[in-house]
Amino acid sequence: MPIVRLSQIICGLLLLALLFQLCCLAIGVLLQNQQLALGGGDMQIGIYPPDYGLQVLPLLQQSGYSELWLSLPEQCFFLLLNFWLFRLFWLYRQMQIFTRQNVQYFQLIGILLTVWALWQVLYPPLLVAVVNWLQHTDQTRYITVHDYQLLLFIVGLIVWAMGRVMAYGLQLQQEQDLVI
Amino acid sequence: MPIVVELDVMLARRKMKANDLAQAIGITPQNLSVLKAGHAKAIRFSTLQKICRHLDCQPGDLLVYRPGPEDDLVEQE
Repeated sequence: MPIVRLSQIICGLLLLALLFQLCCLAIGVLLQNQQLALGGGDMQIGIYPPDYGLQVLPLLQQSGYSELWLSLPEQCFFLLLNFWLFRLFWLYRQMQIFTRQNVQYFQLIGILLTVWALWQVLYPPLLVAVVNWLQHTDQTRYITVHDYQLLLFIVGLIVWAMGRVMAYGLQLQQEQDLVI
Repeated sequence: MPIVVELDVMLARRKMKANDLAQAIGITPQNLSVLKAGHAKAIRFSTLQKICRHLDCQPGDLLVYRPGPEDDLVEQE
């Protein structure tokens, strides 16, 4: 399949995902999540704490803090990733493959994924530390590393490295353009 | 760049226009302009050969080495 067509499809899917995510975000923040009965089954709409934060959730609820403290930062990472991916594939759609902007987005996505993985590991204990400090409690802080977080970290580094390779490719292309 | 392209000098001596030369050797006027302005990173032997044939000159008439501070940068690369 040609790059342009494939990029068009990816852009469309990313846009759909973005709209869906924004709707869930709005319902989650404004309506405090909704549970709908549809066709005999239940459907939950909103934003929910990620798996890695479930350990901290009871502590947050006991202390009277909203679970949004766990789920909102995750949503921000999703939104940023979606936006940069959309920009990247929009450029591919216009057949701008080896450009400075492309390389920039590639590197940003790599850095984002790497930081995201670190965030997932470090945020829950950090949150416990903040709650401890604010509530004068002494809850234990756990640092848990899941396999998917390790994978996310590695994928982030790989994408970052690919961005560096693309930057080198761009430099070679620019030099090649100046060979008469 | 310590290597200076003196294509414009040779064109003036031969009383030839850059566009005519570009057309004669089969490269775009834009590329010839890049070469004339000294922005080119490299020149293919085939292009040099065509220019020399059409202007009836030697490569040394077109390319001149003028030492300068940029020599050090090339050595660092």
